[in-house]
Amino acid sequence: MEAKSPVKDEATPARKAGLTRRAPLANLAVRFPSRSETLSVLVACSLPVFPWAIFTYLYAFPGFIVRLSVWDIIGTASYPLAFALLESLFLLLLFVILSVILPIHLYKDHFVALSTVIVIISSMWMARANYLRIDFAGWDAAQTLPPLILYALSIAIPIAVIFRFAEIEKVIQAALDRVALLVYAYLGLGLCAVVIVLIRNL
Amino acid sequence: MHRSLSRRDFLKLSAMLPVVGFAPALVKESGRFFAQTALPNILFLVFDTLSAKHMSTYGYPRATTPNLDRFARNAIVYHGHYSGGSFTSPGTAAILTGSHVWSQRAFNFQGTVAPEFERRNMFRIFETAGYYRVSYTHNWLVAQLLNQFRPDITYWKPVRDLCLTDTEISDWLFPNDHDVAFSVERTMALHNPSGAGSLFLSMLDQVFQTNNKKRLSEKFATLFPRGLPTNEETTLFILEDAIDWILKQASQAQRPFFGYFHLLPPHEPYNTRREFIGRFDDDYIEIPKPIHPLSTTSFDEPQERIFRKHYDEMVAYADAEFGRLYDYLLKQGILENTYLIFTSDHGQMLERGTRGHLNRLLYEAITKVPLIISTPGQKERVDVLSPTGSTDILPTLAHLAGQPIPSWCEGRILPMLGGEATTGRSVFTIDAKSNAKHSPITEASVSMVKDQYKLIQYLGYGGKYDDSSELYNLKNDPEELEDLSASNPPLAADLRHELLAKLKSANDSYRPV
Repeated sequence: MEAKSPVKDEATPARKAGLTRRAPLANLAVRFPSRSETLSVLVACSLPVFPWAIFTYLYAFPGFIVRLSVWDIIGTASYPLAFALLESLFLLLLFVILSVILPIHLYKDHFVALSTVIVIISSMWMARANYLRIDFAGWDAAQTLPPLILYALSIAIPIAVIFRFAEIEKVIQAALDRVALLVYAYLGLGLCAVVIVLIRNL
Repeated sequence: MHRSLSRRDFLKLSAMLPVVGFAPALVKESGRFFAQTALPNILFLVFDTLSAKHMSTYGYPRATTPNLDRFARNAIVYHGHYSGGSFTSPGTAAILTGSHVWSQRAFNFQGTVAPEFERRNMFRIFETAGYYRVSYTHNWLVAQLLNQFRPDITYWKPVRDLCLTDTEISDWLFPNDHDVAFSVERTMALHNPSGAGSLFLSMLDQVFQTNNKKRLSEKFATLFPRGLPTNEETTLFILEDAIDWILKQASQAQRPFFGYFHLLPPHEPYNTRREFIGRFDDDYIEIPKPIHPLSTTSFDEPQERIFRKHYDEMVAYADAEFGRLYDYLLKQGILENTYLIFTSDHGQMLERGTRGHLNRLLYEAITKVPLIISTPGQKERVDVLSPTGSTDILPTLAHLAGQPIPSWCEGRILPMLGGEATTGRSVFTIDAKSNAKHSPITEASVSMVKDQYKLIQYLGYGGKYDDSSELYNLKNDPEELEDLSASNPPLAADLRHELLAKLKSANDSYRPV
């Protein structure tokens, strides 16, 4: 009977990352970003979402103060902030899913930088579309294609730069660290808003 | 003396047992029977944004309302009926509370009544009288008001139930904080000049809504070539669904019932049914009127003519569906024991360069609305010419239901339904949407109709319109073309004094102490 050949001890990228054939759940676990990476990306997601919610709320604010009591006005502020928190978490979840399903060397290894670039650039596009009330869902292919190509390029070029210059990742991380305190204040507001929404609906 | 129960006594008592068992049901049924015979049902229909000026029932040259003309033959027709406000929130709140807009304070866009008015409403009166109370509306602004009165409504049907699309999340996600959640949802999703409140989720929602709208519009393209009727371009519906449901309520609801149904047509957009498109391709031209300085738009006469034609086509659609309901009620004999009330919350401006009703102008096109009421079994037409107002409907219904007129009610019982047609009575309409709800009203347009005269007072708009008025003789000049304020200063001054005194009295309640 022929003996089984021993598993080759090659240092493949997957093996370097700790993947083995015998532990699929463990393999999955290493695809998840670390806690600090997750927090950094949450900061990146909240960075455009909260200011946009506050900006649009301030436009609506005069309409609320003419007819609502103070407690109700606090309520009107709480809903957009609570939804901003949910939206930030929703975006974070999308990036975590990307990290889990894409090859590690393509996404997980650059989780913070790639997620930050995608969310910030996409936010700019969304802000413009929202502000101009562009209903792109009603567009035909000829209308959709040019902006879609532009959008893809606006994402792809920074991603290529990140892959080419490792230093960029450090710059992005440093930038996120610097705005983290401000964004934690947003997240705190979001949590307070959730509590207020719950109290108002009890 | 003690006597034991004999066998005969036992058998007698046993025979009584079924009667005892059914007694509660018998009492209940007999109560319903007596209630049914003693109290009439009330079916209250409000068609949004229906100007009396555009109804053939009120003399409009185009045959826009043949079914209402038919209904009017067996009803009381009020020819000088005025809405309380110039758009949905104040106009509807005036109907439902029987109080002037400056008292119940629902004068802002998405406005609601002051807290003390939440239990001062039409439904509460019918609750006291033992009625089954049911309500439905397509209109989100009315839904906000009905939500305030919800504790007094037996069955509050959500807007979405009779719509083809469902866009509101507030009423199922935040039912206990509906007013505020709804205000945020509507304002930040639709009416915000800066865009939607959510960067990413709003886009997902938009993709979903657009695709859904496209799918439904294609499905109903044969019936509605211009697109489906819609509320704020988000909620698609067909009037037929609501009418079918009302038919069901009218025939099956517990007696006596009070049904308040506020339907959106003929409100914009004028997506009428195919058969009404082109119905008014005629050479009718309304008397040209100058563009008003306070008009927020400046459409020229050819554009106005197109708007009027499309509006009239939408009125004809609403009328046809009313006709279907009316025929059913007649056929089923429901009108033998039912008051049928038909009115609107406000009219529509399609003149003086203006289209719509969210403006500062209070001409007849916007303030004069239909009011047609048929009493149980009525077989002849009665015309009432004296001025009446939306606030008069609540006390009239209270009277019909055998209830006392509440002390807070500011209207009067309508002529021919228990009230008298008196001269010298003033009826008010107001537009004050830019004022704070809890502060005195300082920037507003107020109209006052007294006998044949109508005064329109402008306040706080700056320049000439900081404090100016127009006076018209509605009998001689129903199109309001000749301003009499300069030619008859004493009369203008008298009416103006009365109007300002009324407003001052209302404002005094809200001055900081």
